[in-house]
Amino acid sequence: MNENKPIRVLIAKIGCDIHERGPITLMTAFRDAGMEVIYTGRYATPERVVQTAMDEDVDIIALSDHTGSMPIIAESVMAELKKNDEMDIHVMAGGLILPSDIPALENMGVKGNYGPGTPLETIIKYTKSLVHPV
Amino acid sequence: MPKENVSLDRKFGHIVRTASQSHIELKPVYNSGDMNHLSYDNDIGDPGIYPYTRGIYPEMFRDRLWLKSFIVSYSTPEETNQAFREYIANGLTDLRILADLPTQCGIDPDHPAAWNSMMCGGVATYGIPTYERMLEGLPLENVVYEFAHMGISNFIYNYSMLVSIMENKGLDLNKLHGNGINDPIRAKLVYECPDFPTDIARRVYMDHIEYAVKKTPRWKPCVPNGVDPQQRGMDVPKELGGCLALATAMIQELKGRGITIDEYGPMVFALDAESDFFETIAKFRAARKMWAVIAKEKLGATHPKSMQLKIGIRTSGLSLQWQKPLNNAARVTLQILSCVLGGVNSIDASSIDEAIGLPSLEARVFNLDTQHIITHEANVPLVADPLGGSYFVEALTSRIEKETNQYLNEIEARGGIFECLESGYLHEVMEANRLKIQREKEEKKRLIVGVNAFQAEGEEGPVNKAIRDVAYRSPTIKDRENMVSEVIGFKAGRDRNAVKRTLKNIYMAAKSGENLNPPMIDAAKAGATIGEVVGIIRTGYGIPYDPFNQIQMPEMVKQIAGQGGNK
Amino acid sequence: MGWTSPEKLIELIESGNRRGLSRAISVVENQLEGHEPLLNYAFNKGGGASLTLGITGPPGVGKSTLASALIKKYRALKKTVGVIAVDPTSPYTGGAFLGDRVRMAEHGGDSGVYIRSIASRKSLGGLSEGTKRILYLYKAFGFDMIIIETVGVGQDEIDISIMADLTAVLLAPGAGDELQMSKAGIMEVADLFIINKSDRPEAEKTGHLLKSTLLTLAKEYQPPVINTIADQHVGIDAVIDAIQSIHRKRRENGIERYRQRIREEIRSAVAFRLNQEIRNAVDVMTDRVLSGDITPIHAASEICRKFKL
Repeated sequence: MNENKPIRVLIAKIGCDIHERGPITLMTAFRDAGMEVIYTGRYATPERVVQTAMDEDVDIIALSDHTGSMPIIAESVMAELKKNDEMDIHVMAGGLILPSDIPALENMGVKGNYGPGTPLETIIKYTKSLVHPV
Repeated sequence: MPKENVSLDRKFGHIVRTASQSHIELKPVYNSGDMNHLSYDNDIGDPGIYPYTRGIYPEMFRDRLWLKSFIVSYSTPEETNQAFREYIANGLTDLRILADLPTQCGIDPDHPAAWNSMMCGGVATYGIPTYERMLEGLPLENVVYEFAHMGISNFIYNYSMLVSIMENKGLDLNKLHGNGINDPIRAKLVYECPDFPTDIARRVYMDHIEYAVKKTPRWKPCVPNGVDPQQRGMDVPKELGGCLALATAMIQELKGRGITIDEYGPMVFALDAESDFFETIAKFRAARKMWAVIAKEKLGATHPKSMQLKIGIRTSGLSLQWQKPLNNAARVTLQILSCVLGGVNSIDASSIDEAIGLPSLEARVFNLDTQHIITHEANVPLVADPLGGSYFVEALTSRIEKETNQYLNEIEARGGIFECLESGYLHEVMEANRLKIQREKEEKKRLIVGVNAFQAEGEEGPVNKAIRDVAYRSPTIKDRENMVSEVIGFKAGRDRNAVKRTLKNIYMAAKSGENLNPPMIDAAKAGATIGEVVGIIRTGYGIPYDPFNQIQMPEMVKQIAGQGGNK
Repeated sequence: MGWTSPEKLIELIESGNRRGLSRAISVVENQLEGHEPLLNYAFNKGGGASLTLGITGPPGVGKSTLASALIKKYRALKKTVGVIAVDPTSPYTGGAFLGDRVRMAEHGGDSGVYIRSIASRKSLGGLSEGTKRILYLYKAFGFDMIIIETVGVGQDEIDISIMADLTAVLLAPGAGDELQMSKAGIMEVADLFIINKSDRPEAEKTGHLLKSTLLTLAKEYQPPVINTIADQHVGIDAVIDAIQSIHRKRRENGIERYRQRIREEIRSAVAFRLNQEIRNAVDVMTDRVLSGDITPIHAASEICRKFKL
């Protein structure tokens, strides 16, 4: 991967979750860290998120959910990625993630799994390390 | 191994800011000079007397305590019904209902977009059977019901279900008591709610208000909401200004439908109780005064009641933190206290486990007990507006009034609140302030205990762990599957002709401009679902049936639209 | 999709594979390994059937909403559409918020619509480079209709007007300030003006103001002014008719325009490279001046000598 290519991230909200403050905060933080950020907006579907990720050739899909349904949402996204043979797009998750859900998410290959109040620096540092491993 | 030396930091915990949460710069001391510009009679006045700065009742809480309310909505109607029973036994007097997120978006559980959020955030109140089960055995007359949904479709539809059940039971609609937020600005600004575009939402919200004012006089059909815009980034003057601007526009439009402000009666706002203690108190005082002045001077209110603003509170969910949830008990307690000192009419306090999941019963009972302790042990409500006359509180109230008025002038100069929504001005204002807050937190000029300050690792003990463990979990895949089959079964078993006939009446009303509420009550009775009702209104307006553009319109709707087109 | 050779990407594009196009865009946009063969292939393939429409205008006038409404109409005519949505890069951090996916959401599931969001990355030499290279690929991919959407501030819309077959400038009622601002830029490049949100009371006034401003420019070609309410799909047919009719007339002096475009493409590619080289040289010389090694005058001469100027 070329170091000069900015990291491209798709921030996605799937389903009917209305909480938007988290993803918007993250968008600003990612942009300030020099990344190119695309946001699906609310009410997206797994199919559209993956299609958008492919069309936009992003490095990372960052899923946001505050309903406690992340395992269900992540599973549908991972399945869609697999179907399209796009397993090297990284998937990160954040929002209302219960500690008890983390093992299942990690098993699926979902990274980050950040709960509320995670310092933005932590997320940014990790995101960069995913795309440009040190 | 020798232990490390410990050095003591005497400046640890020093004050990091001198402005309120809304960036109002505060002086270290206030004195009588800060009140020189105020006149007691015109600006403050006794409680129960115009302009009601100090409260709308002469003896305030001695007259009546604030209503204690919660949004009580678990995944299933049965759980919600059980919870209502337990809360009522613990002193709950106001029942707030919230649907799950797909319902709030205007779709049914069998819609493909519903799956990921189904039964999250509330009950899937897709139709009359869920309502009947949710309210079974609960009193319907003279109990306060509140609807807190986001989409405009939900207010008129849930109201229709409530009215249907009352009519079916032969109950007196004059005794239907409560309110629905029904705020079309919040629906778009904060939630970009997919059910209706703003022009349809404006029609539906006004239809519902007109109908409710005439048929259920004790139901407040519109409660301008400042809570969610504030949580999404607005500061206090913008929160309050948005509510005042919408309320003004609503009363003016109602006048066009032949209903005066005196017929409408008192206004109700839903405001936020944030962590900034004095700013929150001053906001409530300024809100009452400003509405009284607008109602009297601008909207021609002649009856004192129609100059009164009742304030319903939702304490700040955003202020509650996932880290060290025990600290949320302190936050909520202070927020409730600011509401009582500010003389509000109802309090829906966020619960200490809200940052983790839907509130547990225990956390809710803690909220009620906190209010009982403030009342019966701390004796706070014995005296009306106990902070009235405080140099600081009066100056801050006046300052918030001034800034809010500046914002109202700006909105007016830009063509009104709906124009400001459409042009993106409201979004800009909200995002600018949100960004400012984000930066302050990053730069530690706004400290959140346990999050960006005082957050030493590994100090979470058994109490905090326990709070996290009892929080209500999101519904399982099995729960969701059951809900989908329930809806499919219900749809198959209905009287199809009755559903079709009532949907057709909604369609015709949408086309002709007649009030949509009466045919919606008939449709709710006949078993039409929220998704169908939203879809038929959209079809009547010539836009796609499905707000998500994923499903085809049902055969029945195709037939109605086909017939309607050929009439 | 891991690293993929240019040959493979070309093969994918030839077979109409969107993922191949999407990866190829990243390669040419970032000048990654293999970008030159890709660009040469794309230029040779051409794609004469495409019509490229530039949409520009101040923020908040409804460009994405109009683009979305146009896409809907073109899709109804069974035409495939490729969109390049250009958003400004933050001059401070190099990061960007891209693409109004929210307003374009209704085309999300449509295989006949491809949307790519790119950052203007001004610090790397202007909007035109990335967009130009992507445009080659879009044409090679064979979209019937290509839409380039940019925020019209300054140089961008002039670049766009050279690359696009025609340029629509979008304004909103009450846009008096923008008119003043744009006298120099937007007015000159517009083939078509669209006043969106025309249900607002000031729409008529804005229309008059615009028309009288256009007259004072004494241009030979007077661009049409069309009123739309994009979010209600009002006026979209008129926009499409105008596009077709202007495009037909344009073909008459097509050769001259094509020559101008190729000239500009070569020029900007060279300027882009030169800029990069010169910037590097300037950085080196700046350090030397600051360390007291040479004077700024020496530094400038040395750079000129290096580039044989």
